[in-house]
Amino acid sequence: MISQKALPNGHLHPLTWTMRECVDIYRKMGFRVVQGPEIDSPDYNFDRLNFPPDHPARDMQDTLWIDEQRLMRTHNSNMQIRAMERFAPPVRFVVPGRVYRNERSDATHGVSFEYMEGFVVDRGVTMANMLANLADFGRAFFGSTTRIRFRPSYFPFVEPGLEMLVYYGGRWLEVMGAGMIHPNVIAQMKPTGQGLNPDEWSGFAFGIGVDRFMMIRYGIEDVRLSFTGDYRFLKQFPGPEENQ
Amino acid sequence: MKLLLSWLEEFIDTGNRPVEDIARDLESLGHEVESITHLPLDNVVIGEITALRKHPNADRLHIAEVNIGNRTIQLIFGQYFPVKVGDRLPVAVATCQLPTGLVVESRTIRGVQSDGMLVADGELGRPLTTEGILRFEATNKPGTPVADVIGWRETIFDLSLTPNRGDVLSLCGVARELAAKWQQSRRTRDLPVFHVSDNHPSLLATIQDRDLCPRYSARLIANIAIHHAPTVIAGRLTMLGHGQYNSVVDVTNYVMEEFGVPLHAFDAEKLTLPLVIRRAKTGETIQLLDSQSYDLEDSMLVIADQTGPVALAGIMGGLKTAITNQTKTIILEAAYFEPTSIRRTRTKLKIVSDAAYRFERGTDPAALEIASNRAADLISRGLSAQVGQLHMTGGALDSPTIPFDPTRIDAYLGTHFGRKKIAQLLKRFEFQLTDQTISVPSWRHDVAIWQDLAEEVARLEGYDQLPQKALAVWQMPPTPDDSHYLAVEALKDRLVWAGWTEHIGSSFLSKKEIELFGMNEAVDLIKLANPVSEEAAYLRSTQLISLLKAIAKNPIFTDLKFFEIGTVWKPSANKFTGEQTAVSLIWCDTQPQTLPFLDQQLGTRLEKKILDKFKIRRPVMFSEVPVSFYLTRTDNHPPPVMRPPTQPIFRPPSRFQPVLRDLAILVDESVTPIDVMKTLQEIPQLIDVELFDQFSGGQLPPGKQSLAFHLLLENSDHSLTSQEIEATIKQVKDQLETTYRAKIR
Repeated sequence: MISQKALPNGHLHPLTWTMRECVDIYRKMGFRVVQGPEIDSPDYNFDRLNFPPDHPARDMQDTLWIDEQRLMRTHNSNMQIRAMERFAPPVRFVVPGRVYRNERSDATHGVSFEYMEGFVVDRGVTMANMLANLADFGRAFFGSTTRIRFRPSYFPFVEPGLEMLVYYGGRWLEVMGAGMIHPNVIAQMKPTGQGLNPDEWSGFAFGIGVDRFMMIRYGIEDVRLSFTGDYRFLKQFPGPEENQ
Repeated sequence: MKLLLSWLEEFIDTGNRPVEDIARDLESLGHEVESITHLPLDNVVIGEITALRKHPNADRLHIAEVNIGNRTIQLIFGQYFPVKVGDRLPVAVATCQLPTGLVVESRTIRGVQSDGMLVADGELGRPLTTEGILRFEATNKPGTPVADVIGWRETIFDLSLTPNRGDVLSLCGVARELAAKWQQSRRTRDLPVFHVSDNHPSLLATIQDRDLCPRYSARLIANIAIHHAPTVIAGRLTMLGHGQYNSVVDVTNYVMEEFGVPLHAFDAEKLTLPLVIRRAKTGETIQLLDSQSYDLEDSMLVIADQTGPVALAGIMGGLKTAITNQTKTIILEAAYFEPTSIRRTRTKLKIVSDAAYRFERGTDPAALEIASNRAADLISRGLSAQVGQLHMTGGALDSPTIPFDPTRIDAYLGTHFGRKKIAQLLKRFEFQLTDQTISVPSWRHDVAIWQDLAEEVARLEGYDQLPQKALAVWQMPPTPDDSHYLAVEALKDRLVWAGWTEHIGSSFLSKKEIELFGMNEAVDLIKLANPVSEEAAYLRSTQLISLLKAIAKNPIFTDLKFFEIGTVWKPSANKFTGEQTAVSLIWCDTQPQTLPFLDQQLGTRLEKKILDKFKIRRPVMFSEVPVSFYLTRTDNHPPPVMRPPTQPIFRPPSRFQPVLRDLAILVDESVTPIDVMKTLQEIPQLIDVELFDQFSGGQLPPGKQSLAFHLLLENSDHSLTSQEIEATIKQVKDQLETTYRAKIR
């Protein structure tokens, strides 16, 4: 009879390890986790995030619909509005969780993705604050000497918007999208039933594709492999160290 | 959007910047360059004509002997320009591909062999000469690549533009961005001013719906002949992926690429003028250029003549009034349509077109005249055509203004640029400034508030040049969600310590799967309206299927124990989502399990009938409860371990089936199974060692124990042969005998 002690540990999924690392870096910078529904309304997922109706920006996120009132969230930016119904600023939040797109899966994309959204709302938050924060995260995850670049980009719920690139493994990789939270979105944050005043409050938000971070971290070339349950894959990843 | 470097040069002087620098500058402005393609020109060399004669079997063809340096080839050509012995001309030597995509091959034309081709400017894709072909001086040696002599190579940039920047979807738009970046002026073009007196009715078009069509222009061009587009136009359009139609339609595409204004040409003789720009009437239909008929609704804007709709405004022209080879007179339309109505209509009718793509992203209402003039010039060139006046209808252009508040912009960015520098940066993007206000250029539909101006300032300065300043140190107070997240992660740790392995599977179920489990679609499940595939048509209400697939995936491993913690949807529980987090365990056994941290037996045995469907040939137990079940019963959980003990280097599993062998050894009781596993780690092809039995006492000698292992062997390139398997097993035995004086049992 094998004693409990002799039992070897199981294994923790590399996606869980990667998500924990992202959450941990941000928790140490004073952020807290907030979570919300994966099925949401177009109101929270698009309208109140400044996606104009009948605008090609809606094509950026092919959506899985349940009916006209319900969709699978395409990002966890929906929590920018939802969390701010429960909390008054200042806030620093990260939102780990699954998001969904109506896209065929391939080696680098599944139908669902593990994302970590993060956002800050406070008085006097500047673009300089955002750039420093994102660069700090980039160096914490990819290594303290990592070269980092920013490129202007567009997401309807931020202004200015950007993408961060890191030089890793001999090439530049796009690793996250971010931006200063759009004043129209700030005005949709209603901790007291009334929208925040964008002249008083500002903030930034970012989104991290954790599946992609996992692929980079462990050199996994086909993301679909991670979700088949192949034990030859899973057992290569360690369990947590037992702290007794 | 694809961009041709030689064409861009007509809109801005790139000053011979390396293409990589141009790409970097475009990226710094937010225009991602997905690829840079250098077109093949190396196969075009200078050829000297050494002999000429007529093709014996074809009147219009000629045969040339051409010295290409190292040898002489024979080729056949049609005489579009004068060619004489001694001329040095660009020659493509078979087999090669030209920038237009044309493949030059050796072939026999009416009984005569041809091994190359004289290359006109159009096939090079560049307007170089008035004659239509390059000629080289006698000092240029035959065989020299043409590109080396003229110092030019063609490059295509493929830009991935964000949907807010419709203004960059043209050469003129890209040139504006680069001009701002490089602090230089754009190249403008002198266009003929058409003073032709108009003997046609003054009223060509009236706008009935100014909300959906704020500006519309039309002009008549008479006495034209339809032919092939000039080779330069055709060549460039081909390189960008446009189809080739005729001299009029190709020019409208060409000018759209230049100025971003989609143009449309009607055959005027098939119209009953004047045109009316109005909403469709319910019940109206139109057959478009794609030959399909569409039912129109009153939300849709059409261009109609006196008999009915002749074009779906901004999306596609009608078939009835299309340009044909017999067309003599055209109406050329240049218009500005309201973007959201274009998008609504084309989404509803499921039409994709280059014109709609641009209109729904916002075109420049001030560019109608220049685009129309440019097209009229190109269409009438070389013909005795009569170009009519431009009839412009619609409202005046009012450019939106934003209060100019540089202090606020500096405060938002965290910079100290000051008024003067901010004003200078904005002027470079052609914003008009007064002391108090900024007026936005007519092409910038994305700029409406002062934060948008802040982005312009940051973008032109370069995001990487901006200061960085850490947030003030502050810890947000703990939140219930934060504690919940940590508790769930801690639960995963405890499960792993108890020997369970985490699986993460799909959130979706297929119809087949729900039928297998007799689930009631209407009551138990949430169905997607537009699933990616039938395999993923429902949201999962259980993780059982995901975990059964994991068991089925691993027939070779014994003692599998998987868990999954994820979202399931039970619509009966909650009307809107029924969303909850489930903790599911699956294991290969007949007995319930107890967990070291939970005083409760878990598990029910799955029916053989179900297991058969997944081709699982062993008993399987399963447990699934809401996460709250665990969290309320396990109070003093340690915090989760947020970082792995080591970062493993991942090795993809082989596509070939692994081989399983068992091995039992007799060793001293002081030897731990972990020691043994570590010892064997280095043996190639042995990918896993798993303990499945350990005992001492009984019939064994005192101080000795028996250890039994599963050995898993695998090779990434091929299925292992029996010799390879035996060799590896022998290596394992030798190693254990040497290291632990183990006896193989």
